[in-house]
Amino acid sequence: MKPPNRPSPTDYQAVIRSPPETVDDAHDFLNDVWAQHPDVTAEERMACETILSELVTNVIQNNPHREIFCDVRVRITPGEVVIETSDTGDEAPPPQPTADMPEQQAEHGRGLPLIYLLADDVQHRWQDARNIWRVTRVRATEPPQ
Amino acid sequence: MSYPIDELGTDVGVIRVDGRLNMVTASQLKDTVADAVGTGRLRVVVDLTNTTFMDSSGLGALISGLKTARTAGGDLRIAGANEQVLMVLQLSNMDRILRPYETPESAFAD
Repeated sequence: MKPPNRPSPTDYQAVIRSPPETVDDAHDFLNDVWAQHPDVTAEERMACETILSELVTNVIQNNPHREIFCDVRVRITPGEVVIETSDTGDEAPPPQPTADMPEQQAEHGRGLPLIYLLADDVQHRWQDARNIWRVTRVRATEPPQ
Repeated sequence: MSYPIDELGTDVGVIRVDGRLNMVTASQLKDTVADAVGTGRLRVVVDLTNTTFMDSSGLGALISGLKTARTAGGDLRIAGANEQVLMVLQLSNMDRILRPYETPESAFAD
């Protein structure tokens, strides 16, 4: 994986090429981002890391027999964290916005509901032969002084 | 590849998962639970004390392991989960099925 490109202090990008890279590379990228943003709370980090892990996992699992490139972009402002992925995999079916979990014995199918539970906004589109996901997590605001 | 299985008492196997429990390591955990159950450790504790992160793939591996253990007449319990793991368990309503225990020793103390 290339080192994170940092065009601005709040905008971070990386490209994951899988195989050989894995979802672990997305985690490592995010750890680099957090190292520069001590203002992001532990709760916000947990939510964003879970969201990104689910997004990248879905891309890799949906394209098991081919190489994919997945651009990852994280933008941090005082008000929100926006996570974007853009991948070269097959077109994903339009997601059903649902926070409903599958039955308890199911071993799959919880990734998308988790994203919807953790995010304040989820957008998916197919553009220029890429799946583009844009997930927004609104940040906790400081209590009024 | 599988995780090491430590013994606790006479028939409890403790599987310690270090680092991330995600799609990279999920099959490793499933294989290890199958090994433990297959060699007579029907009561399995997955020790998450040093697990830094778990997503739905990791949770799926725990559910798979739980089914493997219960099918053999045993059980699987988890211990030492951090805040992120607890968050995923609670959001997915699986904390009632995979009740988090504080330590491996307390998981089968009842």
